[in-house]
Amino acid sequence: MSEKNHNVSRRQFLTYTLTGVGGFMAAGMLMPMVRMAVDPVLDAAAEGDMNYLVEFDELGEEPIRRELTYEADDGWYESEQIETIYVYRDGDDVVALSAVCTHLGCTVSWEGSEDYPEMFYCPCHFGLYERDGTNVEGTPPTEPLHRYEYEIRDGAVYVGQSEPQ
Amino acid sequence: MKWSTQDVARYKEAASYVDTVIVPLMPVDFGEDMKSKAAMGEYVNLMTDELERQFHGRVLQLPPFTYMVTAEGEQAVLRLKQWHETAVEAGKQHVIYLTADSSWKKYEEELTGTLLWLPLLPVEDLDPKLKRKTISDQIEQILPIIMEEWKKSPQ
Repeated sequence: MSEKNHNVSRRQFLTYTLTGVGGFMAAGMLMPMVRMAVDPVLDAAAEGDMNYLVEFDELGEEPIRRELTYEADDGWYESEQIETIYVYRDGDDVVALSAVCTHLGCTVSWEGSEDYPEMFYCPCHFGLYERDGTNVEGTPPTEPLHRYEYEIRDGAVYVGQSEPQ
Repeated sequence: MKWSTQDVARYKEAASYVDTVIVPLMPVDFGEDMKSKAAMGEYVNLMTDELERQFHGRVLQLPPFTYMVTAEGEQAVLRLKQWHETAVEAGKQHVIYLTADSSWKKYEEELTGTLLWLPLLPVEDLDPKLKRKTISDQIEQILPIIMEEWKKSPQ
């Protein structure tokens, strides 16, 4: 039997086999590396989760201050993030406002200054916001406090991400 | 604002709004007090981070000022004064030091910035929730002191 009668020569068979096996080995090594490199990206998709904030029954007309703590995964660096939120009831609606001043990011407080009752007050550069988060003209902030999306499950308020109003 | 690339970039744009520098003082020692020195550093770091979060837009949080307690003595005071000078030259009006190390108390008069001495609370063994609560209660005490300081020279 001469070589020519074979559809695949010995040389070709070996080449294919080695390429195939080599390919599997390379893939076996590369896959975990790729997986590790894209891992933070895959995890980030879970950030749309809603977090427990407060019981609905606790809410009244007066904004109350709550702190939300969660683990933030910034690439490989994990750190504890804290967000201060003011939450109150407006009829059947719940208003959850971020306490981060839209000017330069200080934490504002409800009725934080005796001179400005019924307002959110920023101690850093004296920014003011109305009860619904609207910034007061003539003070440093240029946009309203950010508002959280929320949902009510089993009588408790859960919040997601805060968005500009 | 923190000593990070992101915040420093932001600081550059808003430098005139940021008139305050906060510096945590961090003792290092190899003596018997090693553990309490570490606890002081940890506690002051937590407090400084929380203070920065409250006053993000008006303060620049520098990296900790580290000193060898027994070896340096007065030398550390001189070094800290240099930090203060540099901050003042950069146009910062308020320099605030946070420490749990009471030995700074005796140099308070000599120091050119404002020294905030925080009595050390043993927070390291508390569960995270209680720890947070303790820290924010303590911060509530400090905020008015700094706001008072700002009133002296309003922007």
